[in-house]
Amino acid sequence: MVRLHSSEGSEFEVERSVIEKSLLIKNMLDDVGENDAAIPLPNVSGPILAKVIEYCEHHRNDPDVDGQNTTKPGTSAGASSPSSDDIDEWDMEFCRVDQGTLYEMILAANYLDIRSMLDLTCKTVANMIKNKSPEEIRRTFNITKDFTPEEEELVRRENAWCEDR
Amino acid sequence: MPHIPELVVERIATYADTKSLVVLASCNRQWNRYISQLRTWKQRYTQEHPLEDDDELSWLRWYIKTLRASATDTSSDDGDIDWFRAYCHRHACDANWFKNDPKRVKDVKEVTAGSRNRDIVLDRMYRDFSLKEKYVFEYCQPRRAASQQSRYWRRHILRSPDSDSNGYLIECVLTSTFMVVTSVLKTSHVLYIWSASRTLNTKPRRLCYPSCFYQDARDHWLLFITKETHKSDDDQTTATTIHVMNMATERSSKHHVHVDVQHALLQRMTEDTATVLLVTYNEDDGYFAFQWSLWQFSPGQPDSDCRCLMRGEPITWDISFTPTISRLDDNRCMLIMQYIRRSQPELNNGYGNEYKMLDLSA
Repeated sequence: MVRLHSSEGSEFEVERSVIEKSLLIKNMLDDVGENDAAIPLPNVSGPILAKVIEYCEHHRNDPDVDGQNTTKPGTSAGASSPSSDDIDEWDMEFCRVDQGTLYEMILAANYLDIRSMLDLTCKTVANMIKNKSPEEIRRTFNITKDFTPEEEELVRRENAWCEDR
Repeated sequence: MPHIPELVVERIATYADTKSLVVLASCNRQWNRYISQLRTWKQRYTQEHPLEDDDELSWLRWYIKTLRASATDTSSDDGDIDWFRAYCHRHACDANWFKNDPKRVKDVKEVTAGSRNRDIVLDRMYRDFSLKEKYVFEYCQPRRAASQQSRYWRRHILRSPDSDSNGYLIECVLTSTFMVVTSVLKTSHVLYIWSASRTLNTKPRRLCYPSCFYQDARDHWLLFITKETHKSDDDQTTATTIHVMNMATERSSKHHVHVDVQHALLQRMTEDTATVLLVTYNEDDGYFAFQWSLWQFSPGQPDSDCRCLMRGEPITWDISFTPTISRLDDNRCMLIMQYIRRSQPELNNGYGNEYKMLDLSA
């Protein structure tokens, strides 16, 4: 068993084979060898760490997809572009959380280097953006419009083709 | 929205479609910066507009030369292009071509590559060999040589987003301004629409409906119908929706009719009114019975009511094959029926054609 300490000091015990989905933790464990000391995770809060463990437990038997199904950032689009539609039911339900939690899950997956969880949470955000107008996106993500009228006009003109079609 | 690391934004962008990203870039300065600096734009650009294509390369060169100095573009040289802005301008260009009205002022300048493309196109023809192989043949006349001998045919391959998929083509129609190809992919009917003068460089618009039947096109107007079948315990009803679409803007209006339409023709068309001929036929005990009616819709008012202008007398033919119907002019249609002549089977093996003119001006 591996002991993990969240940012506020809560302790979680989890099987090594489960938490090794996190490359960060796997590498740490490989480096330190057999050790009873708890691993501190100062960037992950207790509730988010619980979600991470829930994810890793559910996907414990999934084949390692690193370098296969995951997509390197900045390499996408076209016929072979990855789709945000292929999310299974359990994963969809897993991501049905408030926005703040979803962002913390993204940041935790990124920090802990759990590629498949990062992909899942990013796909969920991509789906939240789909078919929305700028105003709807601002409302959804609580984004404040800070363009000057001139900048706004420029952006509107530049992107008018998007509304045209 | 909290601060999200750049790599995570890149990953979200990987899964977002292009339109979503462009819309996200219009939300605020931070997101405009995030999105415009994504590494994905170069790849998206070159994938959609391959630079091996001379025309594409020429357009990009023009873009760099013309807009690099402007405040909207931060490209510094050929090796450091603002691919996001280039992508947006390239698409704005496509959108203008789709408007397709040469008299309309274009927001983004159109650029063609070699002198070959500045030749006058006298005629266009479409030919398909499969869903993957679609060609447009253009009969051209060089601008500087007006003689008949200098005219030539050129051919280019149409690119379509589904070129790798399995499916089959149903029909292609070329109006003066648009080209429409209808095909079936899996269980959906797909309409691809190109600007007729820009079939080479533009990706088609793609409309997909589960049960869509292309009917007619005139200038920039497209008529198609969709059908929905509702089953109840003891009954089955089919609801028909007539769609009249302006292909330049892709805005369409839907009109519901309580007739099981087999064929429709866009008989007369103005910006305010569409006059559509609807034909229904069914076979009963060896006889084909036709019923036609003329309807008026307001394409500017989506989901508006339609008005029946006139109904023709029912027409009945003895046992026959599926009829064809074509528009002759604004007021006349021709109904063509292939039939088996039961009374005189010795003539032409019993087969024959019968024509009937429908006069809609009454």
